[in-house]
Amino acid sequence: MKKFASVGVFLCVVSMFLCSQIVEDKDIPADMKAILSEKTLVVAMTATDQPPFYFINDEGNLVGFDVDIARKMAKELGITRLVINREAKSFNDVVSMVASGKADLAISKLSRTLMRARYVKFSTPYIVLTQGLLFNRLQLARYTSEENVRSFIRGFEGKIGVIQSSSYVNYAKENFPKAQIVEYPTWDAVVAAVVAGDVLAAYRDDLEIRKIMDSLPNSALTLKPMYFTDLTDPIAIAVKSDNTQLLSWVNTFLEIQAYNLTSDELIKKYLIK
Amino acid sequence: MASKILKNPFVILLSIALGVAFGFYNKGLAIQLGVIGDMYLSFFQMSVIPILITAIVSSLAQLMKDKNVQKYLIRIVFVFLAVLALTAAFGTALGLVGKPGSDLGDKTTATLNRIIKTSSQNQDQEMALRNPAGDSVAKKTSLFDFFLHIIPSNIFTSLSSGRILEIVFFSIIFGIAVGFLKDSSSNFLLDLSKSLLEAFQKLINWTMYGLPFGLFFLIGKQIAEVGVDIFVAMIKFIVVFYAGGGILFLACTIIVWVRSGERNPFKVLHELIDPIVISFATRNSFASLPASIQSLTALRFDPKTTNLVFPLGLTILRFGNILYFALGACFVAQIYGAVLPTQAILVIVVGSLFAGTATAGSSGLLTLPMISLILDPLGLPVESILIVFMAIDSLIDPMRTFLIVYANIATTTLIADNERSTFGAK
Repeated sequence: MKKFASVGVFLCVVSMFLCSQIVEDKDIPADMKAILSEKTLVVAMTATDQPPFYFINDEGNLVGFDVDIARKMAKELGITRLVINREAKSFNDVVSMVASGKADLAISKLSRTLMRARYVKFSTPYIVLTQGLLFNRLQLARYTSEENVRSFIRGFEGKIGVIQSSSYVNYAKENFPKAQIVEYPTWDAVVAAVVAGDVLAAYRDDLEIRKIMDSLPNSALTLKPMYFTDLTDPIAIAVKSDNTQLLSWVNTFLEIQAYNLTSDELIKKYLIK
Repeated sequence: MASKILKNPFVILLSIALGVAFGFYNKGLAIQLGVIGDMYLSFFQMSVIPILITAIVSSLAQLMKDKNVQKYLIRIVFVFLAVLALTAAFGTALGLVGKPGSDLGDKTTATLNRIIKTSSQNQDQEMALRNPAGDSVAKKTSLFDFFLHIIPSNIFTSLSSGRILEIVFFSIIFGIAVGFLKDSSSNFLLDLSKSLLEAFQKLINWTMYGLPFGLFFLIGKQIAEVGVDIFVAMIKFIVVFYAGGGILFLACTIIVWVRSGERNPFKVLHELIDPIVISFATRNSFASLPASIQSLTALRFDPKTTNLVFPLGLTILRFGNILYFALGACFVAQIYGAVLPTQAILVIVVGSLFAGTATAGSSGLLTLPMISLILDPLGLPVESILIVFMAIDSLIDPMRTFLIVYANIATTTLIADNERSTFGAK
């Protein structure tokens, strides 16, 4: 009987010992410790606004879904100084910044691609967008009749506009091998090219296409969207490859937050007043 | 006495006016009571197909026995082709001169845009890129299908489902066959057809007494279902279409007046009030078949010819649709700022002729997708603009139907002889 009691006491002592270990700073993995000790979290976003993910609103404040995520993370980490670095010109630049350690995280409407995954670690997606094409209706009617639109898209021949150095350059090569890919510096330039008929279609995620359909006054007459139910565009957070603890923390964070928004809900939440 | 009141044109016009007011001031009730109007319409349509068959069969059989059959047939073909071509050319000219789709302004464009976006028809926006199996099957409108479906595999199926084109085709073949029979064999059939035709016409005559009531409810419902802002946005198109319809109406009235040999043109119009009102209110060209034949007979046109030419014309000469398609194609081209070289104008003329003719046997919204027969060769988009056309069709359809009926009455008078010597010599 006494023997059992002593085992119990021993176990208690061991468990207390273990518990106290978790809150001891010296056992926090190095990557996480660096962030906590600096009391600074550096998050990279591209220089160009990407509403509803990150954009300067009418009052001049940086807001959006990605900004909300970054702020919430800083709060959960107990970090007082959140630095949002917007030096990156393109989405690939954002990845480079994380890979080189200039930023801790990239929360920048970043598509998870295999090419980028060579350089950085990706979290689980916090929103999964659908890929879509935005056609110039008049051009499309010259290529095909309405009954054959779907089979035409499967063998897409013609010019397809994408943002340069974006994930859609690769998506386009992969999904529309016969198309002639034209790269533009910004999404606005891609859309302008479609409206002008310089390219037959613009290729991006459904959210951006829905935004154009909502904002252009004659969109339904002149443009036609087509969303691909089987082509997704998972948006995830990039972490430097050494920072495995940070990555695991980010994943746990996302799991607990359980963001589960669709493109339309996101537009409604951040863009429609 | 009461019968005279009910058939008085002013009573009919009054009931239309009351119907408009009813639909305007009490939308809910007008839509509910629209059922009464629909019932009346069904009662009206009930005997249309038998009349169609008996009229074509008996008149064609008699014509075949006539020595002058060749002369008549050549006249029919010539006049039909001429009026079709004229209508298509007129519609195209109307679209080019009236410019219904040019300079619409931002507000109009925005309204059209909103209507297209909120339409339930505008849902064709998803596909699986890698899996063709899940594709929604879009209906292809082709001229080939149209010709393919002219010959019925079973005439009773065609009859029971009211496929007018097949029924007319059968009636023509059957009428010719009866015409080739010996008199002793065919007389019975001809007499039977004649009695049937008269009996059905009697029935329709009775139905006409209910016209003021039927119109009141039909019009009330139509007005109640009209949405306002789309009509404001499309006002230019609607006005140009109605102006074109007005011009055709004048031309046709003059033709009928001259051909009838009647001195007073208003007397001619008075005789034609029934088909005019019925076609406008029911939006069903065949519903006005009996009344039109009676009006033509009352104007003393040879019933033998009228009984053949009018039903035939009603089936294949779709003047209203041709005019509408030609104008609609010009409208779409103008909205998209497409330049129309001579070649494209020719495509519109010929295309509207074919597209209009291909609507034979159907009516209302079902006919609208045929416009792709013109827009596809022109390389103009159909899908989004079709939604706009559908939205305004409740205002366009009455005029379209009226034009089919009225222009066919005029065409018939060009072919049929008049009892009075023609050109008013008497």
